[in-house]
Amino acid sequence: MNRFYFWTRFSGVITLLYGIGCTDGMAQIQDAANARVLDSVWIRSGRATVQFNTATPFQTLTGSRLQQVNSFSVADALRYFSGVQLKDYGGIGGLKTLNVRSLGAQHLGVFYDGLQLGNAQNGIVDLGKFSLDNIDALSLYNSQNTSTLQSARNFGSAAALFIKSKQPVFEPHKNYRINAAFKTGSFGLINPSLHWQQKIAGNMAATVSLETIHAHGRYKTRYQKRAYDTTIVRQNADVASRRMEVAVQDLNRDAATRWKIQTYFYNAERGLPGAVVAERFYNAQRLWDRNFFTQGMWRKQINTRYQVLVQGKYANDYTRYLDTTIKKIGGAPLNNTYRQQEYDASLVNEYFVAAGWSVSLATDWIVNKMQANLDHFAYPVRNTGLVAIATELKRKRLTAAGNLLGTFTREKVSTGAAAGNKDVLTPAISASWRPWNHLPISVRSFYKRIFRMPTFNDLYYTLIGSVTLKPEYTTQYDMGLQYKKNVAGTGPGISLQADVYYNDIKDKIIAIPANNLFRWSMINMGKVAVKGMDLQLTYAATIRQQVFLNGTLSYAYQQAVNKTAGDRSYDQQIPYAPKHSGSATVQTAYRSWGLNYSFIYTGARYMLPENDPQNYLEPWYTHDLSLTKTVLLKQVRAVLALEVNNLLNQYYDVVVNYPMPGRNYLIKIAFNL
Amino acid sequence: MKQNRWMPICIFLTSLLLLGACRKDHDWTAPPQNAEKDTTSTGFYLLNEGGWGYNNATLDYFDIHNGIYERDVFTKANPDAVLGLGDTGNDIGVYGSKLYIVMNWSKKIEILDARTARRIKVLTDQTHKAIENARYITFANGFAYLSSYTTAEKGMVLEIDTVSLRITRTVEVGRQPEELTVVGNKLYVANSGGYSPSDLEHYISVVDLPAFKVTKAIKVAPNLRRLKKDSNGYLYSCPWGTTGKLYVVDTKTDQLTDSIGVMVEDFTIVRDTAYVYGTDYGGGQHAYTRIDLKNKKVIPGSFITDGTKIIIPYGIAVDPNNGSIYIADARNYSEAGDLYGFDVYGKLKNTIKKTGIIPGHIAFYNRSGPGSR
Repeated sequence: MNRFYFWTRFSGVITLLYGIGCTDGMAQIQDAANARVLDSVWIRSGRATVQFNTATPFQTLTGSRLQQVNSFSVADALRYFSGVQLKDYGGIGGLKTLNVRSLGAQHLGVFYDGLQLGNAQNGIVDLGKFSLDNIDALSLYNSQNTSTLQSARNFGSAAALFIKSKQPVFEPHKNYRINAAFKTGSFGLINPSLHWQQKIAGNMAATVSLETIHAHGRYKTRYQKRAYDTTIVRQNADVASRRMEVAVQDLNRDAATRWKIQTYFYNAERGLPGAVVAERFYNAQRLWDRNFFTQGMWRKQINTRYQVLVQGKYANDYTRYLDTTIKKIGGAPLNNTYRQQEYDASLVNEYFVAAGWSVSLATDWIVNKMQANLDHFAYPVRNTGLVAIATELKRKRLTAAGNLLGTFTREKVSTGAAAGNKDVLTPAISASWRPWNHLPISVRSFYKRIFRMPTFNDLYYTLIGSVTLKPEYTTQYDMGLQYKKNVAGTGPGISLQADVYYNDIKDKIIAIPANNLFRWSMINMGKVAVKGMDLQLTYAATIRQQVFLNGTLSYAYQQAVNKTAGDRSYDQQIPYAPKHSGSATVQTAYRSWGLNYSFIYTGARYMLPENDPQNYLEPWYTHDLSLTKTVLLKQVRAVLALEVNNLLNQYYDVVVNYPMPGRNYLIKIAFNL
Repeated sequence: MKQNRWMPICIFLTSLLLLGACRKDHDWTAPPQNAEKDTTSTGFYLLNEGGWGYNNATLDYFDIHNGIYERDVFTKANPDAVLGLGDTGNDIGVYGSKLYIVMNWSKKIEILDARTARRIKVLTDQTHKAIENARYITFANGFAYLSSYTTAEKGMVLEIDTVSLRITRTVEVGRQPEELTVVGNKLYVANSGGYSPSDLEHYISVVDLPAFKVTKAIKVAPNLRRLKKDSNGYLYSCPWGTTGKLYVVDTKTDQLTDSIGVMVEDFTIVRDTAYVYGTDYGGGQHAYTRIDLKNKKVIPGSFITDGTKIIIPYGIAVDPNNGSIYIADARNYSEAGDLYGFDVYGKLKNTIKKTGIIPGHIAFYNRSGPGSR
């Protein structure tokens, strides 16, 4: 039996198990008995459906799949997406950021329940902080979500990651739902969590989610080269964090008015183990983080053609960095504290012109403030006004969307010069077309031009010249196709999405150390051009109606080259961008057992701009395995999971000299009642 | 037939496992580069600082006599050194038959046989806590003197016996001490205080060598970094960054006596002439100036006479044998640097492309001199 025969036999797309990307929620499982088994084993909250005819490339991990992939945090789960690089400083408390199509982590907008997690200080969001325990779905959009009912800010990043927390869903005759989990394993991990949903009135629900993580974070790593072979224990990698979330919302999905208020609090202390270099295997720096935000949304359908969405947010972040090896005058250690506040208000008016055609006007106002105990700190305040007009057309065989975003910033500082005003218009346009009714193929394309503002660090952390920085622009062109094949009535199926793209980044903001530990210059200098291809394949099969099989395969090719005039590395691959990368997952279920395997591959990279052998970083790949067993004890459903990560114990660095853990284990017990 | 449904998966998984075969270790050093032979000179070691956190500091040797530039001689001579030379080289010096390398972030002083680059001894923060955050090294009367920021508020100068290679004495100086030099039986060290930008240090500490005690502080300017001497008992100092002034201290009186108007970031003194380069950070302008130190007068014009463009000058040395001038170019700090050699007339003589990352510190030594082999 050849490979082709396999695929044709099993053609018929699934949605059985909502894979990465392009599965279709329309074709639901037919066999009721199997569905029930499946449902109890795998899918509890995974009913989110994914459109086939999406105008921008879109990948999602939901419900069961999200819970089954070997991952501790949101960051780990994102490794399975195509065309992304997770920048991971290693270990349980290490910083983890996501770089989509080599645009840079600062170009990714991260949205938590619809509102952006801002960080005006450095423009990045640590995705390792977000646990998967209370997450329903992770969705990554290249360009943007094309919906017209969203804030103007949603149009303002080169790629968007949506983190959707668990929504309250109650079984009939039950007014509560409790999920409790406990995880332990390598790194001295102790991680209990509780997620409690309670119906507090006929159409109102409250959710409380609590979690704490404690880990010493130590792990062994080995360095072998030339005539030495040494094993190092990674130290000062401990983390202790607490997360608390409270949400109150309405439950009536069909009501003309919908609302939700939620509050998030996160508090952590961690060691910063630093880069492993000769004679320095231990670093003593510590970091404290505190993130708080409260946000609310209110949506009202005024009439059949017109609805409004009002959203508001207040965020307050605090970071403290302690380095006891640096003593300032008076003998006090370096103890930097940074505080940030963000106020965000948004009003969206959406109007339905005709069936399947909507237009909207979104206006946002954002205030960012930052304070720090640094010498000569500027105390910047940034006011940002955003206005977006957007439209979306959804016909049977055509989806098209476009928007124009106006960004207007005004900045003030208490000392020194403030960055100049910026008034910028940027467009985005996308379309998807299904040429034939009888063939499940659609083609799509998008264009987007967007920028990121220089961060407060870029502008004000230095003493010289930085306030003249211009925004960093990205332009993206993408063409792709989607294919899905499903035979109603049978589980098996296959789906494919493929995209080719070209990105260019202009006025890239680069730090130039000015021969001085204390002073850097920031300049708009870099140019990068990225040509790439993303491929994703999802398949599902059933064997003798008993074994359920689901797999994904993704591959990305990237030629991301430096186009900065005057650089010797002109036309060479930029640091940390692999030419080839990919992942594969296989999930199987048999009765109450589940076995999952995943593989992640990152090809050769260079740690510095010149593609010379001394800058070469080896490819790395990890094999992860997990086994789950579901037990029903009266009203309680218990899931026991055992995970082994990096099965072959490969020593590798994602970021040079920040070693990743070798083989490690995770045991999880979860109760649902 | 049904069993065969597993086949593609098995094949697929096997192929993934086989991918393991394509991971290969790269240990590669660039081949030596040829330059024009110059029999009027010998050669020098060049320390490339490397990027912070990259652990890629390297030591090169330029055999000027035979016109051969050799990359990464430390690794070749010391394959057993765990993780190599290390991170952020900050200074280099030859004294007698030994080569001393101050590794700042790697918390060590590598003491090598200057001829072979083989390791003789390593001083680490286990040897003395103040080896952590060490900065500059100088030599006099059979001793090496090392400045260190230390992990305490005040910095320190350590005295190392160049025969026993032990730390013999230490003395506390100002905050974040930088360059240091010995004149007669006094040691001078420039203090920066750079960890407290709003409360910088302003002075040079004077250490009496027999007693190894600080006897005086000479007030000069905030944030001092460079400190070098001429043959007439004068010290020349300038702060971090470019201030446009080179300060002159007379060691007979231990007083600030003069200042010379010149754009200066670093300089070297050979035969009472200072070769100075200065950088204007914002505009990317560089000045290359000579100063006649006998008269404390700037010699008009640039000492680079042929208009050679250097992106970011980061180190300077003048060949004591023939007066050739070498300038290391750090380029953009992430690409490999370049090394430019000029003759005494300031004409470009040779260019070494691709040194290590951030070349900056040069120490002359004749590896193939008399007594070899």
